[in-house]
Amino acid sequence: MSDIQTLMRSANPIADAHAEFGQKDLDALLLLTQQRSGDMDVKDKTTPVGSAADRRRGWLVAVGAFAAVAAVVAIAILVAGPNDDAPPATTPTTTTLVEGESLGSLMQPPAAVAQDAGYEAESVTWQAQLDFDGFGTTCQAPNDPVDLNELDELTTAQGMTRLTSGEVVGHVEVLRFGDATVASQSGEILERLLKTRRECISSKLQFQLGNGFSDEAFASIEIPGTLGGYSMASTHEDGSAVAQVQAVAVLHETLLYIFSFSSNDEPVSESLLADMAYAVVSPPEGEAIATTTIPQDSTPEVDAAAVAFVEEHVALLNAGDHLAAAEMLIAARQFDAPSGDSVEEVAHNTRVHLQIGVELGSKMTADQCRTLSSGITQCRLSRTSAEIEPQFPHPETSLILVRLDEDGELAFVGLRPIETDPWWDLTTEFAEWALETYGTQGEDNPRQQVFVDPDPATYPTILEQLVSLWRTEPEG
Amino acid sequence: MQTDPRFERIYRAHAADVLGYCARRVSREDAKDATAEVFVVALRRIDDVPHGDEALPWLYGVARNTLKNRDRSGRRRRRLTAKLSTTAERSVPGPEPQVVRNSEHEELIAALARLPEKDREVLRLVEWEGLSREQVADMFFVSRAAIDQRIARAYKKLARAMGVPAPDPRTAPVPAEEGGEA
Repeated sequence: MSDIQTLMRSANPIADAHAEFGQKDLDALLLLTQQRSGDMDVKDKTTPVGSAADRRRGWLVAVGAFAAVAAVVAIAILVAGPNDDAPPATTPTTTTLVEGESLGSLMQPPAAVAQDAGYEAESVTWQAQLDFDGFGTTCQAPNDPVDLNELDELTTAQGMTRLTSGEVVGHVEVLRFGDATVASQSGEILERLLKTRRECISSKLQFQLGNGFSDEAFASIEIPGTLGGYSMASTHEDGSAVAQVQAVAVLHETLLYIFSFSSNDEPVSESLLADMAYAVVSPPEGEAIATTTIPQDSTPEVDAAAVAFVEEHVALLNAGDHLAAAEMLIAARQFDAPSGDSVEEVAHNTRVHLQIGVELGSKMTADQCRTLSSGITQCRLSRTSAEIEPQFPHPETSLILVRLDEDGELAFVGLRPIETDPWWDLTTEFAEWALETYGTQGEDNPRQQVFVDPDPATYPTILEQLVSLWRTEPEG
Repeated sequence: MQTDPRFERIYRAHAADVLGYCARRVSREDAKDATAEVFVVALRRIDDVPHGDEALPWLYGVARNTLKNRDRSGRRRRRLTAKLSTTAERSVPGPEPQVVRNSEHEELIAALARLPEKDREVLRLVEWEGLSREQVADMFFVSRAAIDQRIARAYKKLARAMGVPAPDPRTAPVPAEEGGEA
């Protein structure tokens, strides 16, 4: 045995745990465990907790129930607006999200969607429940307050941890846009945007179309290519449309801010947001968007901190320090694994995480980015980056994507490491994890590949391969 | 209060180990709190707790995530608070500095703290918790070979930091279950 191994073993602060802790300690701890478990049993009366599989099913049931309630409330609000003569909605709703190729036809300001559906924009109160890594985010009308227990269960089931016990009330997507030519109107817009968000939070998220944003804001949304609003629609069984997911985008300097709200609990996927972003701003060929999320909490301190975060990030970008800016974004996306869940469970329970590195992303065309971001069902970057956060040297040069087909088969793993040792270790480890988790590496299967290439000169080639593979339909 | 009989057995068998795991990484008080969290999870997911020798690594996995979440939440709060504070916030020590130290091992603990988290954790699980490498490999969803490689690499870094000879690369460090004192 080597000296270092001997030293390591002798440094064990508690050499014998069974001798260290007496029965009294353990009995007290058991009592504490039972008390806490008893507290949780109150919640368990509404949500059965069983095996991991049961829990996933339970989560789906909870989401489904929440969606149903949200849809009903949203419909009620829609029909109970100023137009009191509107007939009550009697047809059940489905939550078929229209996306993908239909994006273009749906590209219109949010108010227009509601108007198309026969409602005046001013009458629409939005109710939203969104979630993302580490935080549950809920937007609801004041007359239907957030059920914190339900939120807890939803967020816990999805591997999320709330920052505090307060309501989590806001959702901001920050997209970095590589074109600085639209910097002119930034200051006032950003100020208004942040002010609006604060008001939204302080009023417990009553976000009203036509009211939540001023006429000026909506007028500015009409400016093509710079600011935009975007809505996705779901349909009733009778074919009538109900606006479902909305995003409002504001460009500031090189930053594209997107507020997104959903009229039910349909999660807004990263790929959908990316599509929305492209639909709104139509970036030129060769420009790319990277996404991240700023968590929000209801406390004024945290809200102010989030504002400070944005301001600091803008300052870094303006100073040209893209590395530090990217590190901020990475740090904001730390991922909390739920206690006791395996990596597979985390992967299955976690919504898409997608981060396209700035450096690599800057070489992507809009079409390539869209291709890569669509259909991604799992991505492990946020978890791996969180695990090595202190050692993460160049987050902007990374690209780690895992794509699963609908049947759960690994379709693709793409890695873009750099030369430094910790990152190299990570990529090797990640490759092992991905391949061991999702299946053996198939050298004869071009859809299962790992790129480990430290040479930036090969980015474009790798990118082409990525896109090509992404577009390849699985054989058989 | 009535508890699941199997849970009782698991608790009696492993509570001290889990408490020890936590106490090696955080303060005693925090360790007790975290251990309670671990067994709340175990109680709620009793059907998922593996039988036999695999129960303890499973509990360690829960404990690891529990401590990480607590630490991460703490760091988030400190970071957000720091943004708002005009005066320097009183430094709150993270889990590592709270590990019981003595002068002889202080340097090693400090060097250990500078290792990547997973390297550090793998070393501790093998050398302090006494898990086999297979068990650690299962915990991290990697192969035994990957764990061997990680341990060798971690020891190399640790030795370099401590200024002692690195283990011979041709002979991997002796696994705890295969020899040497615990």
